[in-house]
Amino acid sequence: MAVELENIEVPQPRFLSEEEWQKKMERESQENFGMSVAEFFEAWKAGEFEGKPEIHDDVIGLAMQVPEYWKL
Amino acid sequence: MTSRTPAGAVSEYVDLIQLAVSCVSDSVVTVRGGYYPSDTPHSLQLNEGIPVRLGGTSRLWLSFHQFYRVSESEIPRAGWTVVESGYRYRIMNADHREILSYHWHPGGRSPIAFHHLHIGNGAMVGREELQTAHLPTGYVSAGDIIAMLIRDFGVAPRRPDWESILDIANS
Repeated sequence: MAVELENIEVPQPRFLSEEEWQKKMERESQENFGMSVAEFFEAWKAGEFEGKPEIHDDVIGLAMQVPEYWKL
Repeated sequence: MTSRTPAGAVSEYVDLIQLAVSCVSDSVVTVRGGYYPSDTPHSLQLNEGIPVRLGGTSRLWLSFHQFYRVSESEIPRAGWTVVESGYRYRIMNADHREILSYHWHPGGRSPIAFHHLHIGNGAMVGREELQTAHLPTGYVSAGDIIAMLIRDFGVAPRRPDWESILDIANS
């Protein structure tokens, strides 16, 4: 059964280029961890962020954006 | 939900997420240009990953991040579909302290491949194990989180038809 929705304007999603996303990740990495994405990912692989529940969400969130995460 | 092309499947999926978000925020969903099948999942974030303030008396903040793959439907000639492959939904209090964080991060080096929930110190639950516990859950969608925020956390819906929208988003 079709549902009639209110006619309310919804923003358009924004599609970022790979370059724009890389810049976003670098900003995120610098702001949250004070290091580049490459340095962050090496530190994550080495387990340097383990046992720190206060940053666990940020760590997982950035690590999953690094394509290599999915190949481990 | 299927589409004739991979790009069409992604657009439909992202539009649906954006519609669900519109129930609680005018923030924009940002996608890492992934319209094509790939071994590495594509990323989707709310507001480029920057937490957004939600309306209502509870003064909560929300951030979320999803990962998805584009694949051909298992039904012959049905077209292309988007399949989620990971997520994190984070709800924070007015001081940006984490209350709840729903995670699913299969792959990588973590042994925790199942859907789970973290309870943060913003939840003000004192038991020590809960600061690091991975509490098992089933799959949780963006629509589930938004419905919970409105229903149980006093977040003000931005549109009167939010329940219909979230039903559609979860279907």
